[in-house]
Amino acid sequence: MNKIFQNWLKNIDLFSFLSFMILIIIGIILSFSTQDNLAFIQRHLFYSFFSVILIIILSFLDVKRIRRVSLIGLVICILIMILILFNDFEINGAKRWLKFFGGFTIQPSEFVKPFFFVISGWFLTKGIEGKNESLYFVFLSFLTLITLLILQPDFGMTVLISVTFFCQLFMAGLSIYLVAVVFILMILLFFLSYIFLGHVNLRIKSWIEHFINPDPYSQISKSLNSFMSGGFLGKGPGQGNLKNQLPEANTDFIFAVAGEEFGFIFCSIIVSVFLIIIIRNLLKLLKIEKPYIIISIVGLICSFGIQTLINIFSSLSLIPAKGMTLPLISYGGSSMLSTGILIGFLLSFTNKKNYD
Amino acid sequence: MKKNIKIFDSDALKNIHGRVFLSITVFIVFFLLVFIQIFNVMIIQNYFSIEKKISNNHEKNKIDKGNIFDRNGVLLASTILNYSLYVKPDKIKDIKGLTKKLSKILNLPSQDLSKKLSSKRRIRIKNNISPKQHKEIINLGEIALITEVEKKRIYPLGEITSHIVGFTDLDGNGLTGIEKGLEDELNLGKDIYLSIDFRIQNVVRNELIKSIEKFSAQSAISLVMDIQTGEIISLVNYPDFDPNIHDIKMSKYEFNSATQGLYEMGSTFKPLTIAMGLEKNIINDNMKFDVSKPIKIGKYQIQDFEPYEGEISIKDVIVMSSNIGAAKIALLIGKDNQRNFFDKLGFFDKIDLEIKETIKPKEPINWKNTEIMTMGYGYGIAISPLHLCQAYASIINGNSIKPTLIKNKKTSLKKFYKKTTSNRIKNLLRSVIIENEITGKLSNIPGYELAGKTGTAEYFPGSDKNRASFIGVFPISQPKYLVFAIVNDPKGIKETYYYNTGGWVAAPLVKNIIENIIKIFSLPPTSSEDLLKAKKHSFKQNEII
Repeated sequence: MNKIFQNWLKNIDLFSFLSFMILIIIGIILSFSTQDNLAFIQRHLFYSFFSVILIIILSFLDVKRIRRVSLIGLVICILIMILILFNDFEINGAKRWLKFFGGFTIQPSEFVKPFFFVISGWFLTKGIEGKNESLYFVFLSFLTLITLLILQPDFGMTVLISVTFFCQLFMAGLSIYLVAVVFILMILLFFLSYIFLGHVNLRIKSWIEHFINPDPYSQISKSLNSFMSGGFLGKGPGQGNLKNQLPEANTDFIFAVAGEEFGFIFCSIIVSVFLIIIIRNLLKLLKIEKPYIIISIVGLICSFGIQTLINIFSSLSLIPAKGMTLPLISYGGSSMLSTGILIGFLLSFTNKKNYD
Repeated sequence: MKKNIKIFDSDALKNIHGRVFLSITVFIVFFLLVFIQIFNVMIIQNYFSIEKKISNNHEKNKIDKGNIFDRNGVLLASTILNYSLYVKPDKIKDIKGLTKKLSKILNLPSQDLSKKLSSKRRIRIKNNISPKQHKEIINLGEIALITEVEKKRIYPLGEITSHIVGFTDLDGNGLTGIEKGLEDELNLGKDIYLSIDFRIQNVVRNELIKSIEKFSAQSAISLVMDIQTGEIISLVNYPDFDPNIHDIKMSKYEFNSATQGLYEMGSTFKPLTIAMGLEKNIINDNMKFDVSKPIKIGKYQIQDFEPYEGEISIKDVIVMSSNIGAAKIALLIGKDNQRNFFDKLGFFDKIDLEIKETIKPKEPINWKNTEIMTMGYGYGIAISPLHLCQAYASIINGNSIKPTLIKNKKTSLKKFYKKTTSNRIKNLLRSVIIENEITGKLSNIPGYELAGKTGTAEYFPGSDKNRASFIGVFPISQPKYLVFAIVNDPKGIKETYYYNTGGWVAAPLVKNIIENIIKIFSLPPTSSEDLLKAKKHSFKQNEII
């Protein structure tokens, strides 16, 4: 047992692992900041702990096992996503959650991410090797997933999965003409959804409105004001105002809370840790030769990075407010556990066994 | 095989460097944007930008909304912090159990609670929960419940200043009164000092209550004003309401009758008619008016409450309160002069007060001889009590007086009326107290030179309900305070020989109010009582000539 663990320590990307742990610790510190309700903190601690366990267990698995786990996970997630469309449980007009007895809810679209990117990595590899049916399969499952997300509706997740999938295609060697075509398609899709999807339209309009005529009581203003009031070193833990003003302070706007209470330096550290993790994992690709592993890592790390960017961008009002969590830091069980799975997979793929 | 080559560059994966570095560059660019933005917002805008100071001020001021004080610094409105309880209904596991626990803590009926807990969106369950309740709720450990600190406006004097101070909604937006009228200044953190004296406000209110009870009246209104500055020292409508409690049942009492109600004022208009005639040199003290016969207009006729056989002077028109006399004088004055004078008095304008609850009286639709005459004694035109007080204050002062609710407000006085008009009206009003036996006996306060005029106005022609009013000014040799009161629908009682007129009901009420004012302000008696008595004689001589 001890030997297995020593082996694990030797082969795993310890630097990335510790960086992830730093983020989890930051998340715990901020959970104390945003809540005076002990039940929240307890839950956050529980999810954080559970996600560390998931990271460790999954990082022991080899890439073949992960493929199987992912296939099962993807099928289950898609089935649940179909199921909840026929369920009448909604929050704010969206059917994203499955409710269990006792009020416990999970958001399957969070869990689908790591599973899908591993599966798409595998089938894209097969496709490149010449199996057309694999390509059909991967595009078909992508379209199914996107359709289900739009039906919920969950515009943020749609964008996240689409862009990440595009990154995988790009790294797999998508010809430069097709890259251009996809770009044009994405812009087109964006405009179409702006025109046809009411809530997307509304979000974007209110975001644009903010620059012309800022409303001091809007989410955006409150978020920006709390950054501003933070300054270099912040107001001090628990001293912030934002958490009393925005119900989403502990999820979508956690970065603003960090800004208000801990200041610019702390925020810079958080952002740096994220960026270092992303660069380090992308650099690892250079040492790896197996296409399956390369494409999967790209999917997992890009999903992680893009989600981070969407969360931070919207709390800084660089894009319209989007309900997306900051990986490992925001409150939320589904997000925390799915990120745990994603990182577990990632550490398994970047294991030294795979390229030495 | 061809197809695949089309989609993917076949050797791309073997030569991955370019694409990896491109990806890394893209990520670095986006993260750089984040660094730039947090540096911009947290450092540049925070430490170097003026814009930030404004928005921070705004936030600060949202917290420190200005207080409202009376003229002596007594707190009338302030902001405190309190906890509100919200629920995110989708996070509740056990609605029944939670309802039970909460209804125990909050002391609320469980039906209301379970309705709120099963709503679709996040809603407020209760505002203003006590620290003890707050602690108990936290101890429940229920994540669906959220407590938030909120700002709440409180009104320490409650009902007493309700119509003046007004109130805000739960989000602190002014809805009525000063809270609405001066909302912008309050939001800038400015404290407001009103011209109101809460001591006077309180005694006036008590006197109104006593009077309403005594005469089984429906309601009462009173205004106390400083004639020299236009400052309103007291403004009471009774019944009133508690602005600390938002009770729908009480909302009918939120109407500010003193500034917003339009009433036919009746006899208190007669001095205005006389002033009109004097100002235009149409009447003088030598003229006599035959009031022995009622004036017939169609099936309706103008008659006096106490008919008098013969001719009377303008002074008698006021002292005896002759409708016929006032009607005849009005007719003499004519439509154009009457309209101009009413216009000058501001009867067709909304009064620009610090509260928004003011009203623009309507110009009469018909303005023929009938209306000219009835308006001469206060029928056929409806104005607010504040309009009447403004008119009296201006005529007596000689300058146009603008009512205000703010202490020491700088106003420029504009000469408006001839000094002779002002003096004559003052004398006439003093004569009412000295010479009219009922009014005089019921309202005179020796040493304080009260002057005034009664009014008794039917709700509508032929109605058995009336409004008994009295407008008083003292000390008349150097007019300082104006006190006006209306009692709506008083019933005659034995003590008043079943009269319910202005003289019997409102004059004593105003007298009581003035006695309280004298006590509170410790006003010394004036020494010029004899002087006025002397004047009274001199007028009589004038009349003979």
